Amino acid sequence: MNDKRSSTLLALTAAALALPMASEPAKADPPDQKFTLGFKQSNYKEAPIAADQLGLGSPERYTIDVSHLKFKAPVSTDTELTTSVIRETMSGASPWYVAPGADGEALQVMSGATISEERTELGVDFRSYNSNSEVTLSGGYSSENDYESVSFGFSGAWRLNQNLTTLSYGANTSFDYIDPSDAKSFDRPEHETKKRAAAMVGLTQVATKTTLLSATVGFAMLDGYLSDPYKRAFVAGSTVRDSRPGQQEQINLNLSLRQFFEGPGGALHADYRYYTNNWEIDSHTLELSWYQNLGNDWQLTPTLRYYDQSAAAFYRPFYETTRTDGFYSSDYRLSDFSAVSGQLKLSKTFSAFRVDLSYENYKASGDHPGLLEYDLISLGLGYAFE
Amino acid sequence: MPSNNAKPPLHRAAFNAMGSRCEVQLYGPEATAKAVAARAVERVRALEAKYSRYRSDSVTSRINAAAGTGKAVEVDAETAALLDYAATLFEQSDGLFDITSGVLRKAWDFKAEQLPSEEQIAALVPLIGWAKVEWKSPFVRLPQAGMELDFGGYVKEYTADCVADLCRAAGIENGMVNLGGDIHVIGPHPDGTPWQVGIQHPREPDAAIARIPLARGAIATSGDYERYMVVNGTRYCHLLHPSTGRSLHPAFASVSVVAARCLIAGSFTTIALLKSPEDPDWLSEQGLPYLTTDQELRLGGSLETGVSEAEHANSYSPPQHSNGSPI
Repeated sequence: MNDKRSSTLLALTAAALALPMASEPAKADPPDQKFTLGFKQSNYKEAPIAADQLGLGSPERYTIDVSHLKFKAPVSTDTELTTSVIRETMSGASPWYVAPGADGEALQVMSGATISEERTELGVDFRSYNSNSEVTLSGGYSSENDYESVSFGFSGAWRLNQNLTTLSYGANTSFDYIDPSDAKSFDRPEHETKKRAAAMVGLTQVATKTTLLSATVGFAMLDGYLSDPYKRAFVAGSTVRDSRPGQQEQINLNLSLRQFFEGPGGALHADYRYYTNNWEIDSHTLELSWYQNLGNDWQLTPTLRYYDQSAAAFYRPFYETTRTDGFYSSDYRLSDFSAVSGQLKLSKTFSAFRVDLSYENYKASGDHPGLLEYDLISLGLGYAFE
Repeated sequence: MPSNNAKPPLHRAAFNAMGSRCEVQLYGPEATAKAVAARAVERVRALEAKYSRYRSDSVTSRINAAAGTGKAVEVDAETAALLDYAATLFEQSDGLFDITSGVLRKAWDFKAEQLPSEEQIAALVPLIGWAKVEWKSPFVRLPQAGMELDFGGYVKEYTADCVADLCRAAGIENGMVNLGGDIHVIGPHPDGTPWQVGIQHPREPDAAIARIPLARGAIATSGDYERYMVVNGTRYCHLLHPSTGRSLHPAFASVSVVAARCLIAGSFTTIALLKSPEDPDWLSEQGLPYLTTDQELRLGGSLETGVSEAEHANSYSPPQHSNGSPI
């Protein structure tokens, strides 16, 4: 009877093992065979320049309204296609150059006319998945009246060690064409181009049931016109075009920790980022988020971020003498500064719907009179269906 | 700060699906357990919709609608594996477990409490026979008009396994899934104690005849009480012989089997009942822990039960709902 006994159990077990869930108990993040539609509307508003730091022009800075629509659809059981459209409308004045005041203090001169611009960006991601690896091919196109950009990317991941370890990698490149408006009347360059190539590799490790650690290293090279055509620099009594080196190399390192705490039902996300480039800008970013589940599918997420960077080697708020290398930039983004930002996000999930609302305040401090302070409010809606 | 040593809360979700009362009980952080339970319910509903005989858009209806038209229906990988499983059930049960025999429900109306006529049965029996089904993955063809496949004999057990796998994949280690008595235990209570699974009393609704401690794995129960009618003092149950079309008189009122997967356990309970009139000892030779209740309500089998025979003979204690009752 032993033969008969084992044969029925073995035959049924073998047939049961061919069933999908029995043979594949743990897929990391396979395409879920759902359609998802996401929409996000954001309002970004920069605070006006303080009166005692304004040299000339309007104190009002940029306001940007951003609409972002994203649609994901399954193509086959193991592939999915995500398409997105971003539409931005910008208005306001932007920092033009910095001039010394009567006591040698730096004063921000703003662009005279109110700028009004629109930008449209299209993106496509094609993701293909199998049980131990996945790859995504990406393409993007962005267009505004004075700027066009095309980008391509390839990224992937290998899951090893029973899905406890993930090795990820990626490479992308972009080609930009810059053709500033009113070039002749404002002494701006015409028909400039810029190329960017970047690569990254990362390792994510599930350390315990509730702890995830990851490290990523990236490298990027930029080549071409890297200056800002709408900014000028004050040099010994007159202004010159913003002119930076035509090449930049960047290295960045990211370390992150995801720790879930069962007691309070929340998770800590801690991220540190180090960035350096060959213009001598080094930066450090520390970001801490707490994802608190509140029950009834509500979630509240406060985030704090601290950022600090050193100035580019050739940066000055204004120049008293000319430079032998010919590089001039008084862009606040190349100055020595630190910034603190705080964000609060509230989200609620219904069975197929998701709504979130977030508010962020960012404030930079340093010597440059044009350093940013902004408020960002976003409303996100999501819907999933089969 | 709450201590991490605190026992995680138990989240329970009860719902009706697949013609049964169902329940998922999961230990874990509230939000996680709740989200996983919601996905579990969603998975049950999706499989119910996919294999329901009552929905015209189901895989089952699509296959059955093409019967006799000459057209082969292409099926997905999951359905293909379930059809391969049906072929194995047919072989291993010597033709008794046949997913084409569901068509007999047109003659056997257990609610009407009326026996079918000879003519009714004679008209349906020629439509039965897995051997007639042309199944070459991924194409299935029912050669005769009126033939039907019915996954109802094992899809609920398969669903219990799928849901337990889904919960485990989401990190749940302690919990259980109960789809109308088809039970898959994900893992024991957080302190390591097993779940006490109540076994439906075959003659007393909402009462347990035994309680089986189970820390992980699956248990399925089948019996002559699930659908039946009594006509002229004779009990006719839903277990029908595929070649005669007649109701069987199983040697057991109920059979429970413990296995690693609920699908396996349920297959053994059904085959054991179908074989029992001819071969009542078949189950005892299969090497799986089991519990039988015979027609005199005597317990038998190799499973340790939480209720002694003397005890339950006097009082049929209802199942402890907090510990996972069968219904």
